Amino acid sequence: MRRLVEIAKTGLTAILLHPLRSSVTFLALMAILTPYLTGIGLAKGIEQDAKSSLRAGGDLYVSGSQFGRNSSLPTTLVSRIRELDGVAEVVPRIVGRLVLGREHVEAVLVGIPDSRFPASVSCIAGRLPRAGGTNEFVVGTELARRLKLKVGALLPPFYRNPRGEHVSKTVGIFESDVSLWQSNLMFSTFETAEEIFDQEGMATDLVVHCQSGYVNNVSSAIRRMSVTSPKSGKVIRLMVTSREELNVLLAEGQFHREGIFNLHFLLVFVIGILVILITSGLGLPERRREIGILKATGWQTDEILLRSLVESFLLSVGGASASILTAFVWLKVFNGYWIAGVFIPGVARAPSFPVPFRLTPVPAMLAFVIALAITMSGSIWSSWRAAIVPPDEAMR
Amino acid sequence: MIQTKHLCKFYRGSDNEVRAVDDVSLTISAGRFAVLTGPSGSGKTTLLSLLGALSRPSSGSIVLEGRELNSCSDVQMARVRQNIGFVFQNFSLLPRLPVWENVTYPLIPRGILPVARFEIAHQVLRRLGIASKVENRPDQLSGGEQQRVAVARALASEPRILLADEPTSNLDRRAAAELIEIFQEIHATGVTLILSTHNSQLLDLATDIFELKQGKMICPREIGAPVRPKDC
Repeated sequence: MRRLVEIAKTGLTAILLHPLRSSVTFLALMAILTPYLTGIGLAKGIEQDAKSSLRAGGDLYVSGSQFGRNSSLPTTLVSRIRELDGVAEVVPRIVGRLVLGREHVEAVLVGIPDSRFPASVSCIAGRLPRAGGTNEFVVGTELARRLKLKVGALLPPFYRNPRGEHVSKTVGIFESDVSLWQSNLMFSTFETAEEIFDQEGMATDLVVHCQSGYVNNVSSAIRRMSVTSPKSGKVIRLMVTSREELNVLLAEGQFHREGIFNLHFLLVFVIGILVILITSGLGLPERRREIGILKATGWQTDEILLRSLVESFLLSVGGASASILTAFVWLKVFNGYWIAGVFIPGVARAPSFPVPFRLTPVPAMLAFVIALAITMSGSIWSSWRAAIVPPDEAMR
Repeated sequence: MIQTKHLCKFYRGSDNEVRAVDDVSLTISAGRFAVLTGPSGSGKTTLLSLLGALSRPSSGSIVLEGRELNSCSDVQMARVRQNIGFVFQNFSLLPRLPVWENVTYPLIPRGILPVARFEIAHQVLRRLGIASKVENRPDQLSGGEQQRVAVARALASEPRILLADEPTSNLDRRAAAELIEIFQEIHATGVTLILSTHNSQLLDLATDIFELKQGKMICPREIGAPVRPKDC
């Protein structure tokens, strides 16, 4: 045992014996693993944010469908659903896409009754829109930065309806526990959203809060309801999605996004192995000669491989640990500079809100395994090749 | 005792086969001071490598202290090498390790702790007169000192056989003379010495001289014994 420990300790010496090779391997590992860990950390953070949103949301989400496409719902449905047994509250919502400014910045407008603004939204400047105060908005910090909006700033007429062109006013800038909301979300009262999208008496969806144990009953009752469009008189089919179903959809969506990222990463990983194989050629003759010297002085092949294995292991642990630390610094200190834009649509290189992230043990372990695989492929093979030839040949 | 029979080592060149060692048979008894001599390219280094179990012959046999090397596995060959000290022509030290680590690196697989290894290194280096350099790195030493470190490494495992390839060729006259004294002292302890050299002083000290030319043995000689014409 002591023999193995003493041989293993030479693995550390081997790292110091070849500083250039060790440094290049270490940096290559960091270059490969840090973006991976940062990306996965961001994806997990976004997932956590989305789950928080769901937890803070309703038990059921009711939307309409015509010809298999989403359609808006009449707000008269709100009172009908409220009358169902087990329904605590029904909140109509308008969620729609807007394009703002000369730069055509995409934003999402959420119109909800002023009494139902999410508790997680708090204004860092100004106030929330008030009932009766039409064309008032609060915007997220990131969106405000991109559009150069301050409290009191007027948005030039960005919509017109039969009642003419409208100028809107920024009455507040918000921050949220769900930090992603700050990137492209605007809140207004339900009435303002009705005006903007010219859909009076209509909502894009209804958020239903149920009493405990009533979710399934309420869901079934809503599905059985018959609703017609007030404009066309045609039937609107109601679709009900529960919080649990959204959780599943969220996981699938997240898995898909992570899958694409992992696929890209796989390509980088393959390139990384090639790079490491090439860089492991740095000082290869010197390393080969060194192994020849060890063999000539009585070291055995398995002892040399153990030394090389420990060297790879230490480099992997070092590279993976440094990558985890760098990923954390990238996300926490540099707020996911550049990479946040890959995961959060519409976010600038330097997001002006704290990007959500979560570094979990599984990707960290995976990073270590990847690091070990890369360093092993770079060193064990070349060590083994040098160790199996006669010492005088390796030393030549 | 070391004995070779019809020992051959061939290398495949670009357009022909190079016979580095060609049909060499020799016997060196324990405790002898044997010298391999001959012009450059005559096969001295290759023969030393074969005797030191650093390479395998193309044909023929080597018996080293009763063990037939041809039948040894790689692991067994490594064990044989643990009992042979080898001093390389270009020293072959590990450049970034301190002298004491260089001297005792071969002892690591034996599980000897660093403290004990340092003590061994210190003793051997004191014997060779460079104990003060124990913490230095090879590039901080002169050629003569590096050669002594190489000798110290070969001696650290207390071998019964010491092989040295042109040990004085990279040294000035004074350093060479000092090294020759060291070899004399080592030989006096009963270690079998086999050196390849052109150095006349070492030739004078030799008990056996084997002269090679183009890989062939042209004149094995036991000092004090009559030269056998049929062997030359």
